[in-house]
Amino acid sequence: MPWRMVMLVSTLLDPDEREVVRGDLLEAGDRGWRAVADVLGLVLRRQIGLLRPWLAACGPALVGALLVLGFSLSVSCTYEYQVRPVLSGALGVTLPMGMALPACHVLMLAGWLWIGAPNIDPAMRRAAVVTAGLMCLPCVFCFGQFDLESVSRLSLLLCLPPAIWYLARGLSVARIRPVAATLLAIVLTAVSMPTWGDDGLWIPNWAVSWPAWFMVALAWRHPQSAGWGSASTTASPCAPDAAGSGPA
Amino acid sequence: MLGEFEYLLLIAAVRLGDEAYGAAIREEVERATGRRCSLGALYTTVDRLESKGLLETWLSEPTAKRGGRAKRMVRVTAKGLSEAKDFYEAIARISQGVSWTLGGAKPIRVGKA
Repeated sequence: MPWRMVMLVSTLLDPDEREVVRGDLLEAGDRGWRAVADVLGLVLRRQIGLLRPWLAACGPALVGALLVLGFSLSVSCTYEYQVRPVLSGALGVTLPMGMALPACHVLMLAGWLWIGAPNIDPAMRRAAVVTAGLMCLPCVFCFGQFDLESVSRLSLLLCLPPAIWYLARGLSVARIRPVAATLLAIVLTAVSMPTWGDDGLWIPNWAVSWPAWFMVALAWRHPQSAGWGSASTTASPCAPDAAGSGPA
Repeated sequence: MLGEFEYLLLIAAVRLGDEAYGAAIREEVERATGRRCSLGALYTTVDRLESKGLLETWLSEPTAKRGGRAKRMVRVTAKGLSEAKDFYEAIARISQGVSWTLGGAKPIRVGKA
C-alpha cells in the first residue's frame, strides 16, 4: 500500500526526477510510510516553488492596477480643470499654483507602471499574462462605475499605452538595478506628498506603496541579475532557488 | 556563506567522490548527523547549490539495483569546495577556545537565600 502511494504521488514530479526518487527509495529499501512522506514533502516543495512567481506577480498587479487607474483619472482631471483653461486663455496668463500636481501625477503614473515591469519574471510568461488579466479586472469594474461628466471615461485607459510598452520591455530585459530601484521608490513616495489630501497625510497611500519597496527588496536581494538593458534573465527573484539554506 | 545543511551536503558529496548521488549523500548525511534527511530537503538543496554554481549534477545510466532507474550524480565544483572550506574555517575560528562544559558558570540557586 505505501509503495503504491509513492508511485502515485511521485507522478507529480518531473519524469527524470520521478525515476531518480523512486530509484533512491528502492535502493535504500525504503518502501514504507516514510517513503510516502518523503515524496509528498518533495512534491510540496516543488509546487510551492512553482507558485511563488505567481504570488509575486499577483500581489503587485492588483494593488498596482488600482493605483495606475487612480493616477490616470487624476492626470485627466487635473488637465481638465487646471491646465486646459490656462492653455485656452491668453498666453500671458501666469501658471496656476497647481501645476506641480499634474507633474506629480504623471510622474507617479509612469513610475508605478515602471515598477510593474521589473516585477515580471521573463521566464514566467504565463504569470505575466495572468498579471495583465488581473490588472484589467479593476479597469473593467471602474469603467462600468465611472460617472464623472466633466472627464471622458476613456481617461481611465490613459495608463494602457505605457503599460503595454513597459510590459513588453519587462519581458525582454533584465530587472532594475538596486540603487535605481531605491531611488525610484523614494521619488515615488516623495511625489505622493501633494496627493495626501487637505487634512494631512492620507494613510492608505503609505499602505499601498509596498510594491515599490517590494521591488527594492528584490533588487537588493538579487543584484547580480540587475541592470536595465542587459540581456541576462538568470537568477530571477521569483525562482525557487531563493529559499533559505536549511533543511526545514 | 553556506548554510549548515548546504555544508553537510557538499562535504558528503566530496567524501563520496565519484559515487556521490542522491541516496548515497542522504545516507552519509544521516550517518554523520544522526538525524533524518528528507528527500525534499536533499533535492531542493542540491538544486539551490547547483544554481549557485557550487556543484553540478547529471543523470547516470540506469542500474538493475535501482529497478532500471538512473541516479542523479553530483560533483562539487572548485567554487563549491572553496565555499565549504570558508565555512569550515569560520566555524573552526569561532569555536576556538570554547569550553564545551558549563563548569565555568555559577549554578543558579532556587528558593531562599
